[in-house]
Amino acid sequence: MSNYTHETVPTQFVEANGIRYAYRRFGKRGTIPLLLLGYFNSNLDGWDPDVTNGLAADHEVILLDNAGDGASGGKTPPTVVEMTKHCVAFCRALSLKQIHAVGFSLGGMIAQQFALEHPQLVGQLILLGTGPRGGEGMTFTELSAEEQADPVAFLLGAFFSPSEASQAAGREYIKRLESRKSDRDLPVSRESAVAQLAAIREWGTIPATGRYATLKSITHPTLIVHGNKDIVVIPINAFILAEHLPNAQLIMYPDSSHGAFYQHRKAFLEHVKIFLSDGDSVVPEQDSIKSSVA
Amino acid sequence: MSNINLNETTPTQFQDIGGVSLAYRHFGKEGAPPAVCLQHFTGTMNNFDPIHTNRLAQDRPVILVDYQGVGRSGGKTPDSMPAIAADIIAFVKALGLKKIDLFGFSIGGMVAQQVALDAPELVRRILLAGNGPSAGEGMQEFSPEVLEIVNRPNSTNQERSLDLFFAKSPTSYAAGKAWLKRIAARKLDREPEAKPQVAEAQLVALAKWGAIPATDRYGDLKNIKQRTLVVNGKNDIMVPTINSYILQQQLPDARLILYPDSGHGSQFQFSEEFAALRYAFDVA
Repeated sequence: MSNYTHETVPTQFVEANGIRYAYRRFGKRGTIPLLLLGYFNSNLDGWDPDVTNGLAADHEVILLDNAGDGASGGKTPPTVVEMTKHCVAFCRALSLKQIHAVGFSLGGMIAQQFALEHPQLVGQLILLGTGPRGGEGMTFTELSAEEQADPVAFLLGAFFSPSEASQAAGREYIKRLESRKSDRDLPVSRESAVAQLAAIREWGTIPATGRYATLKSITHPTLIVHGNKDIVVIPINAFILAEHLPNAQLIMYPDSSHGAFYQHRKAFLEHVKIFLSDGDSVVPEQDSIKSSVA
Repeated sequence: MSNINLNETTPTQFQDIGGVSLAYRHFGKEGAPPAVCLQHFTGTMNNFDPIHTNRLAQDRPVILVDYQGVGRSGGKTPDSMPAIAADIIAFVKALGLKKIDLFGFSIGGMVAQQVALDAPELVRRILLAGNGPSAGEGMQEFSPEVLEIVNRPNSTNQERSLDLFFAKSPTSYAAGKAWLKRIAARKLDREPEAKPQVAEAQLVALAKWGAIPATDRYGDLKNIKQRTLVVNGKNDIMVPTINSYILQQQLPDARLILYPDSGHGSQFQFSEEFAALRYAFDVA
């Protein structure tokens, strides 16, 4: 166990193909790392410290800025496919043999593409507030590259439901985002935000044929977590993912929106623990019998 | 745990609810609201998974009960969910219980929803497995696939349960066989299989439950305000899986979990994980 936390871990850089990627790595050493891929228009500071520190108790955690995002060099590409190539290059530069991909929103799209193209590099998948390529209502017309102008209003409106309880959870989350005091990431540039927006819109475009056909090829054990009132990626997309992915379980939380796993973080951390500790989710027959008659 | 075998060893008791006696078993740690477990179409108390009941019993009382006409319960099985729910409410009150959790599988979950609507003050939390709302999608009648299994000549209850509750994969099927072994572990004081009247009445009750009203299709669900957990397998052929999603979307305070490679009885297939998950939801 490294002594670093979300708050104290220094930002590091690794170079691949001439691009310098910014990342932070902490948590329990000797485990398969969780590669955390963030949402549209976010950087390394966008993750909830309660969640990253909670995950770091059992796993190594790696937060990554894609090319052109935050302190990473290079130019943010306008497609999920190209963003995925950067993630792969990053993993190879760190000589990671396998990761569990944890993707939130845009990050979840990259995680799916990563698992599809490099199935052996990915152990398990955790998809948060995301949807399949060409999902329902994934036009993202309500998002703009200027969301950072009023980040608090954006986060409370998009990540949390209008209920008092959810809004209160949102305000706590926003406070927690400030718990890291030094060595904070660089803001997301407008150029990067524009490219990220293009990428999620391209991902959301309904293909002419074979709408959800690629999902059957993602055979990794997958945990899908979604808010029941997600206004950014509507919740039916989580159901569609669960329906079409061969080995996915879905958890949906009440009274929550895009940031459901932040609002319900205690339950979420428990659920991730159950999921990751039981990779193939199958109880061997003999063990089941033993435990019931022991 | 010293109480690990309670599902196997607890004797069946009987409670009068106004001239009719219901068979039940009561075990587990006292001091918390009991989990009242309500069974599936034509099922008896025998079919509850000992992994769940014994795990639940570590923290709270567990009460398994058979509806009128089922197993050794007296009377005839009523042919509507409100009538079955009225029996359960009378049963809970006759036991002197003020607050319960409901764990309903299939028809049991429909009864649980009805109990929560008709006696909300009695119910703290609800768990709905392999379930759907009144007037749910494809719940007006069983699909041809289900009817073929139900009416298959010369098949045993166990064989039918495997095909109805589990997915068509070797893994799911193996999990089904393991569940069948677990529910056979109790040797003494077992309930007799349901008589034909049970299936007849429950089919009528299911048809009434599934009927689509002219207006406000899922309107009742907003009145079930209790903290609820909805669980199903992604390939439920008895109550199509989309209904679990509908329940979660319409109930004011529901969580949903869908398991891969499983059917109506997903909680039997993912029994250990589900037991842990329930705990995770309880502590959250």
